[in-house]
Amino acid sequence: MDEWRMDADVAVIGGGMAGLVAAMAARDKGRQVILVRKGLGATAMSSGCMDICSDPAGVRGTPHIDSTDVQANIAGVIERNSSHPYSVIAGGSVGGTEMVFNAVRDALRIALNNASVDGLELMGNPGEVFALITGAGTLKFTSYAQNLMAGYDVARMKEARVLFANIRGYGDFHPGLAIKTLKSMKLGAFNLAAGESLEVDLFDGASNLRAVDISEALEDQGRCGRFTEVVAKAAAGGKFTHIFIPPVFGIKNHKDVSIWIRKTLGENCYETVAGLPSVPGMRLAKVLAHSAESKGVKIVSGEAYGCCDRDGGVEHVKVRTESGNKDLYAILLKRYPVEKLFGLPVFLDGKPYGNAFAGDVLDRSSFGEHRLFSAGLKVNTEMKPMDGDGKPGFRNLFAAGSVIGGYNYITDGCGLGVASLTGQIAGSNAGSI
Amino acid sequence: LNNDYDVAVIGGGVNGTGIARDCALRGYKTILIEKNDFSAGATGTCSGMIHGGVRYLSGDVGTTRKACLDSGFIQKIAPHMLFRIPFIAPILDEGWFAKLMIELMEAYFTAYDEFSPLKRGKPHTRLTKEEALQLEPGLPENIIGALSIDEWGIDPFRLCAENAVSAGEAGAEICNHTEVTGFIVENHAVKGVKVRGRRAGEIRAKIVMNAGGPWLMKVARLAGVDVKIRPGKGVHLILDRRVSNMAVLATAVDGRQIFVMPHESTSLIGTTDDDYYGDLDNIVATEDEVEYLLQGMERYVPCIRKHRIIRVMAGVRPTLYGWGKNEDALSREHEVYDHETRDGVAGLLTMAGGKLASYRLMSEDATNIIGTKLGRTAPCRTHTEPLPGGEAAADIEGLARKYRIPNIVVKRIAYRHGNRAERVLALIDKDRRNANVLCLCEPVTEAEVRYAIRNEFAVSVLDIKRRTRLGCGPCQGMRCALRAGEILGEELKLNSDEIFASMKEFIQERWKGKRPILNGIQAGQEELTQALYRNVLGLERY
Repeated sequence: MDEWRMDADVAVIGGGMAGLVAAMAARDKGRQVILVRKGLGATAMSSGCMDICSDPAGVRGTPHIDSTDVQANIAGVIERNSSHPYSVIAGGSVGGTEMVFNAVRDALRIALNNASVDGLELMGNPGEVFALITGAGTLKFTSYAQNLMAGYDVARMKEARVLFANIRGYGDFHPGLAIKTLKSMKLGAFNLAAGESLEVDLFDGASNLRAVDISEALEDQGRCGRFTEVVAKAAAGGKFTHIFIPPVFGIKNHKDVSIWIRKTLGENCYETVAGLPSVPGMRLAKVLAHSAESKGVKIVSGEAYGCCDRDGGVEHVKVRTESGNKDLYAILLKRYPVEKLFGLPVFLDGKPYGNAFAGDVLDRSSFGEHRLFSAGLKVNTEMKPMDGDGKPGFRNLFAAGSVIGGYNYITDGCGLGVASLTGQIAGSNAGSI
Repeated sequence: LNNDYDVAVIGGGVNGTGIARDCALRGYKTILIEKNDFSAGATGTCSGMIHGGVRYLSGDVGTTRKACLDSGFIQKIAPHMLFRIPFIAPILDEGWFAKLMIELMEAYFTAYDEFSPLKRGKPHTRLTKEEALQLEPGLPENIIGALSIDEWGIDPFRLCAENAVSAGEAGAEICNHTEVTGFIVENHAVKGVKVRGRRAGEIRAKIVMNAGGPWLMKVARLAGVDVKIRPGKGVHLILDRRVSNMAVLATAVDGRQIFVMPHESTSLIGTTDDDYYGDLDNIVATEDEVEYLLQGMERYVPCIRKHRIIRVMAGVRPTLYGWGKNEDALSREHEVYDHETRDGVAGLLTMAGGKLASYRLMSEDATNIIGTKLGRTAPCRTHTEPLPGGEAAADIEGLARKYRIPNIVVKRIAYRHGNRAERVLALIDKDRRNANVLCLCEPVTEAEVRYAIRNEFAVSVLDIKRRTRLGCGPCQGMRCALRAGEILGEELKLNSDEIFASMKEFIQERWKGKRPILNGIQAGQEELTQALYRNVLGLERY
């Protein structure tokens, strides 16, 4: 193995939303920043929407959301969960809600502004939760969505006449199911007057196509045009109020593809939300990485596997470039959740994890609370992770994003909100040392 | 609908479906009632072996002979579903006893050789250390040699489904998702059953056969009759690939025999056997049981912990009752209780105990008793009449060319459907979209899913899983739930609430098997699955 050495003021490990925002924040303080990443990070596997605080706790059991007010939701989280990063940042008091909200808004603005440089427009409002339609016709609640995904208000879709237009061979778009789901949905004035579907064959009848391959192929204007031509014909004469298409319309060149789509199919054509593998998530991760690079962040592909420390500070991080290691996660479950890089203790509900079997902190119901997923590092307001004595483990080490415990983005609906906020705080603190 | 039957069979496991088929083929007017789905209980959590009963050799040579003979019959009626499993029993170099052990075992297997030709089994072989390591490089260095014997495996889910389909084709009424809530009793005689579910009301039958497996005590109690069994919980770990060429026998910490065995595209490590007193409708494996199996296995296959466990499967055996014995030492025989002579309740029989490998023979025995009760004699045909698809072999390459789909996909379909594979593939001719693969791990086509719904009584996503292995691979149902749910809804004209309920039932069942083994990167991957279902799709709201 060749050995090499790089020097920087700030080293960031991880290339997801938290890492990229932290790197950019440190760069904004005028520091030299190196970011080490193995892949595109979990952001690339997200829906590509930005959840700040969707409060699914209030949503559970009902097809609609109770509170669309992000600030109120954040207050609720702070009141219920003192370990949540929002609570930590608020100093544990509901009185800190507005401060947290403003800070998330500012942190997200950095990400949004940087994304828009590359043409990825994220539409939304930090103070509000709105609904988007998924490929199964269910609703995803979030606060920001990309170009083609946003711009309609489900609650106002009265007498909606909807067309679901799929691409043959793409398996994660379910028009038949989506129409049925919408038919029985109750949200505001929404009702479905007509639902139809069609499938456009762009790849000679091929089946089992990968979303990424489709999205790359659709960056070709000719192929995209063949799709829009068929759909436009089916939708001629204002037959439909909304046209939904799968979220596979371009990655790198999404901006141009969006413009072609809207030009030919009109303003009422939208990409639905999809889960893994997620083209919108990839768009977001790629665009943010690109803007971090253009700000001067040096991105290195590799895996951090160890560190050297001296006098309570991290001296350097060891990185290797060969692949094959499967320990992908910063917090890894080895019977018990562990943090291996810096040997920091993992916390659950504010207390050291202890020796519980993972199954003891996972619910029997698949849709349960699953406390295991909120295990992670405990941080102070500076985002310094704590050691077993409740003191910062290292004077110059900061944590951001999902490595921090106390929250479960799945049930809390706050993944990218927490990632940007903690990334912003950690990055600017690191850049200020 | 005529509600008068000769025989009502309760239970859709291998016993119930086997008996229903036998009765129907003998011309008795039969109805099969299963509260959940075929093979949803004990049968669906078994090791899937059609063995020759080598373990009975020391006590009862007759049982071994019968088991081998019947294994031979099952190969004839269902050649498509059977696969050879050579077993290797490595002997660890652990003191003076090891050398004696290998001689003892060889003598035992030599005796078994006399019967194995009945099931087309090859004679045992004695292997030196070098030969054993060459055949099975995953074995440890500290072995003094090994012995091999030859057994057969089967897909227990398909076995039940095909018995049910065959019974249906022979005129039986097949009702899965129909639960018996009580008996019609007149003058101390059972005259039929009361049911609810997909079929509701009263069903009159001259003979009611309780083949409820572990639930048989509960069913018998509905008729005021007490039957005792020793329910024994059995746990298997499922690995994401075939980790060995042969099935490897091992000794667990308590001296019990366990194994790792290639099965389909996975490996099974099994099994535990512990008295079970819990909820039969929610049998959950524990981390301790997982550890017991891994610890026992790793002495024989040292790398076993490096493999990915995709799931734990837990079930309960309806073992015959016995006091004062360890679970393992209990008889694997079956018994048919005649409640008329035993308890004074005419018209009711209970089938207890038994094992998958001899299901056909036991069904024949039970059906003989039913025949006597009915006062009718008809010869058993289940050993000569092929199961659906077992009539001839499918031409895999020819079909792959004809329908323009990969060999591997046709091969999987042919394994499950024999020469009826063409009936499944014909759906692709009607609509090319039926060639879509819904479950990438296994691969399961849209055609096969539709076929299971139209022809094999599948009415839920979990039923589809049992018929096709949808969601049984490494990802344990990450994206196929939605795809299968959409098709189910289309075929059965379900509304979205019904579709989501079925999907969630499937997701919950998958989760039950993942929770006790969640470790390493799988925990992170599960987090992503959860994010998809809950955070993106918001399924818990539907």
